[in-house]
Amino acid sequence: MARIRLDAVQKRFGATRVLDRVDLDVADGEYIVLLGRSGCGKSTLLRCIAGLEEVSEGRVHIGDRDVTDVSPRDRDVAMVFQSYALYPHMTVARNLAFALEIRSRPRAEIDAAVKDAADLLDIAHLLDRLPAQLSGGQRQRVAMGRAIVRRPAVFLFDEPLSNLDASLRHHMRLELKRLHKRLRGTFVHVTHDQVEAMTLGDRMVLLDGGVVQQVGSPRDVYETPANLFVAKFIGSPQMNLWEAQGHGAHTRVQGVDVDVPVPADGKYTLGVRPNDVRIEAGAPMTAKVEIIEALGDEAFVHLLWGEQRVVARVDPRTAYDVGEDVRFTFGRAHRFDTTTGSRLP
Amino acid sequence: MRAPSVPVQVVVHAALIVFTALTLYPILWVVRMSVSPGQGFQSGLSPIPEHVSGEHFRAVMGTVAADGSWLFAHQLLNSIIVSCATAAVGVALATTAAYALSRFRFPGREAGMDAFLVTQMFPSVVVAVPLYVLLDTCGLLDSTVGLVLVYAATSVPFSTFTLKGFFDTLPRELEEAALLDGASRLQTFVRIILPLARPALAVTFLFSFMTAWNEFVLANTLLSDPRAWTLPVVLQRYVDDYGTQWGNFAAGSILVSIPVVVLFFALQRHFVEGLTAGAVKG
Repeated sequence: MARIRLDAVQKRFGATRVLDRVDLDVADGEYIVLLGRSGCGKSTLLRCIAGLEEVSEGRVHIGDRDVTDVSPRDRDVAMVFQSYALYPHMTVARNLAFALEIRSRPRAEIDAAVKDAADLLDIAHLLDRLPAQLSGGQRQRVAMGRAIVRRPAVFLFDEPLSNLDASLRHHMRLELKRLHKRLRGTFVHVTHDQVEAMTLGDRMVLLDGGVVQQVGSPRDVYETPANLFVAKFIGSPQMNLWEAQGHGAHTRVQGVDVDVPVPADGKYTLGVRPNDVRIEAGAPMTAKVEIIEALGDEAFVHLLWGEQRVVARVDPRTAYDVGEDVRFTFGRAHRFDTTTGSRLP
Repeated sequence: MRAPSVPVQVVVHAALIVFTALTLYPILWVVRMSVSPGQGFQSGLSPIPEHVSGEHFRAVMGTVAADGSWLFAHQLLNSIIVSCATAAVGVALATTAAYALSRFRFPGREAGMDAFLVTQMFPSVVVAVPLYVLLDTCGLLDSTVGLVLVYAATSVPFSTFTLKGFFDTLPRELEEAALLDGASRLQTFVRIILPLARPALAVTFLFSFMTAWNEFVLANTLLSDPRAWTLPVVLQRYVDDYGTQWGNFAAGSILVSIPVVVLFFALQRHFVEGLTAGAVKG
């Protein structure tokens, strides 16, 4: 198990800068999730930690070692690939044993380690099969087994759940969580799925355009997004955002007086999460119900508020009619600098 | 899917039968000639011999040298050694070259591949004389080693292209996984890549073998001693200015074909498509 430290890591492919001065400190035994859209640099960052990509500038430390110039095979990291990358000509048992065979470990030790990993992941009955004879979920487990069999210092996961269907993904999320608890390893997990990031990570790192946007616990990132990008990216449906003009106790959003908890002077972007929009009788603002999305355990009401749109999370048992006028107010609000996008106090 | 209608099936099968007959007829005709007594050209449309005799096979296989040694055995062995060695050397060189061209970026890579292509554009007659001079200088005329070197050199470019195309289709993640598992480049190549490349290696081996086995122009130019001849040169000697020994020629043709057919069947099981199935998502 080991701590990971990235110091001003940069990665360029030709003239394209994919990672821009990334600093990151992952604690020993921490589960950290790298989150962002496709092409944001999260997989590249993971590959830089693995050593599969050389960093253009900066240093990578794993444990007490500077591994920037160390070959991937000597970094003591294991990786689960998005495509699983199982050796197709080897049985599951040989896939699991490969890393130990390469290191010329004694046969008894290899057999014991393979058995332990197989038991842990419930794949002992698959040991004699070839990868082609496995289902997607089983391949996924074997790929995880291959990573854990030699107990590396760091586990890297590159979108490991993205090829699974929704129910299996949920199941494997729990498995990953259990695995982390059991192995107490340092896990770095790349995903574009915010649910995965929110549920798995002790902390999450949001990346956009190769730049770290925010590092924090899922709760922190959700509660206090560092900038507009994070505010939009985390939360579904995304945060309501409007251009606002504050003047003393009054705040106007495109000509409409709104009631915000902490008013401020000047122009800024006002953000309110759908669950902070409260529909209640006697509230100061009025809007018309446009669309109702009922999801069973929750519901979202899309409101037309003048020329603006507002999404509110509501109790699914409360009935609303399309076209009905409702009164609403805001609970917690966020303010962002309209020009830079950064969070305002 | 709906099965085709009966008339369509009849037409399709009729067409298939016609093309199969067109393909097999010349072969059956050669077989007929090889087992019919006499050296004359067998006229008539029927591929079925009127009389059967093994005299041509005995004549071809029983050829002896002036010193009484079994010449045909020598020549058959020459062909086998030259073809196997050519295929082995060619595949060994092409495999490593193709892997490097597929996976690494280095100065001269593009130019090298273009140069490989250019070498394929010259007919062997063009290079026969320079090769003769070269082998003569090296003292390798009438030698198996000389012929193997020439054949391997000519088969490497094509084999390299074939194998590079295959390596390009192998997912890089497999190598990265092996690297992270602690394997060196060489271990990855030997333990992961080569087993997966078996179908491509089998095809390339067979192609190189067949090219060497059937090659006539260079062999005829570079070999003058009958004990050094390969089988295509032997066959050609049944055709001379004063007449053609059709019976022996046909029997020799069949004997020459047998090893290639055997090799094809032996390697057939390796021509398995989709060996990489299950490597990645799917």
